[in-house]
Amino acid sequence: MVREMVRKPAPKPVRRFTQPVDGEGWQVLIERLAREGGLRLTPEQLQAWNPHLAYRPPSNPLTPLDIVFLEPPR
Amino acid sequence: MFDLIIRNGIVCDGTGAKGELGSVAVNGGRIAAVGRELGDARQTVDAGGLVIAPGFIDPHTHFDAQLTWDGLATPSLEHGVTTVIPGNCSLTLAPLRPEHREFLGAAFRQIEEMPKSAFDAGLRWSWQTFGEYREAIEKSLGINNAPLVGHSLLRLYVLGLASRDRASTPEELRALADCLRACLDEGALGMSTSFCDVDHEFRPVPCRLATMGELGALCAVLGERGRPLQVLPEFWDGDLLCTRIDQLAELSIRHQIPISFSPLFESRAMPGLVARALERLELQAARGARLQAQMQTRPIDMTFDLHGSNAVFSTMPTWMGALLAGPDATRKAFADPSLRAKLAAETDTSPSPIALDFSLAKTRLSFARGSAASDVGRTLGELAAERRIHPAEVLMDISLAEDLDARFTASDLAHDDEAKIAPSLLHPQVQIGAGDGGAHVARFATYGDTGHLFARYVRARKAMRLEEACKRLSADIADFWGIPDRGRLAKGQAADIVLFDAATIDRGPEELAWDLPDGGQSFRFVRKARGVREVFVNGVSVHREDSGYSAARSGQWIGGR
Repeated sequence: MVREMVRKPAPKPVRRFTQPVDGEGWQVLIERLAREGGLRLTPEQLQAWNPHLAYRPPSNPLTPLDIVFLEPPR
Repeated sequence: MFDLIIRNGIVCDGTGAKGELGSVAVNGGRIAAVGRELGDARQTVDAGGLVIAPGFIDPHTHFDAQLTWDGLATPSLEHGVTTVIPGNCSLTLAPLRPEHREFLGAAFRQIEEMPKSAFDAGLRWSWQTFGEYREAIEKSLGINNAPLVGHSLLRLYVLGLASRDRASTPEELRALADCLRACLDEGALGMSTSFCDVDHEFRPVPCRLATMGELGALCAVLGERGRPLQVLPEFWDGDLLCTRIDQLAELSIRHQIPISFSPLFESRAMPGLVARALERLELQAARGARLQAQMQTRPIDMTFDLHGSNAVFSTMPTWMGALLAGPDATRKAFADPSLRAKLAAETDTSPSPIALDFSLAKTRLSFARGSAASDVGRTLGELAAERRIHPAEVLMDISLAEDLDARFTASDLAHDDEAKIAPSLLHPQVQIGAGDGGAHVARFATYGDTGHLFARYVRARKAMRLEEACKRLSADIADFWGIPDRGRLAKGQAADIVLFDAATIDRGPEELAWDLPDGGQSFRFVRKARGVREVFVNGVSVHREDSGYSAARSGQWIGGR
């Protein structure tokens, strides 16, 4: 029974997102996204789509568990 | 011959079945029989028609520190809570090396808003390992303690202060897994983590420097034993929360563990958030995820002074800057005309802080002892209209006049729409929790959510049957968290029993208590219980409404091998 339930596909993400690599700041993240996924994004775009990260003080940088949305709210 | 019989009560056994007139017999701290005619006992309690229910379980507390000086977790116990789960949100007091006590203490106090004087006076750091922490407090427990171990503590123990800066290496990850196994062996029920807390220096707590790979590896350890994970996600935003629900569901399915996150609450500042989260939880439950949101029963109120930062200003950078710079700088900022204007404007334009519907105009002055004392009880909006200035200027003027000691209370910040909340409290992917017992002690009283459930949702709104409410507070939580032999009134179960009056059970008004272990230097907000006649922990009476606490310390440690 459990096995049957697990086979159900995961729901589509509410928004496309990534998670930073350890030590990654905005610029390095953007460069990685361009290199790995061909995404051409600006810091302004990313920060506008991620106010939960953009409003943080410098003492609270991006961390590997953070969710960084790669598109605006739907 | 039984040790104890509680006779002549309405037995609500925690299963949700209709309450029946009957008795409960106890032997050796366990329930020996439930029925009508049970024979004789060395001690008999006449329930006089009151409800006999399983003791309530509070799944979200921060009693880690308080339990070292108060094994009763007062006043939770007198509300009928017989088991608490501390160690939520990645923070515990063990395992901890001596050189990290100062850092951990500062972080814990900042996040859970506990006074330094009480923390310093009450804590006698005599442990490093989880087992030693257990040994230090187990004998003085009057309430059952089922603590989690904090992910931040595991990282601090293994990586040292580097845990604040980076992810773990493969070797460290193996050590983290071993450390978690040791904590689970020595007394931790499960683990907790956080996706959003910051410490006293506004840096991420150590667990936030983990990768999803590290979190997954630790969940695999929990999965070896079917132990639970608790998580603090970004609860204030629908897209973020649903994304976290998806991630947590994958962890739950992959490692076959129960995961609960907290909080989830209704807010005018974020309409539709609860409905979205519940819909997502239902989708994931259908895939096999054992994932529940914790929801509190009480509305969210908050009292604050301007001695430091607090959540209602968290989206206002100028305010945060002024409040974090220290009292002298705060006073200077409030007296500077150009900064005052900027601060006032910021309260009008800033987004809602963490889904709270904060209005400065509706905020009341709740304490002043100087020239503003005559205005206590009035809103800043009323005072602003009278003085023809902005409410923020009233806030600053009163704070300056009172040397920053004035207190202000913002009421009904969220979770006050009972019609919307009621169905969620019965939702299968929701558990009643998120009460935060033992934390935020000078902001709001974290006690009496159980009484509030009966008073508002059972009696006043008739949104829930009495028996269902008992089940939600006992068996449902015990089952989800894997707490064995508790949560029901049935033969063989631990005799955690609460005797209460269904017609009057409630929480009392919020009041100040100067009972912290610092000799009256700081206070906490508490609420006394109403209508809870007697509370038994493992078959022993620990609190009676008429005589207060007994000398018994019959609480047990839940967790470990």
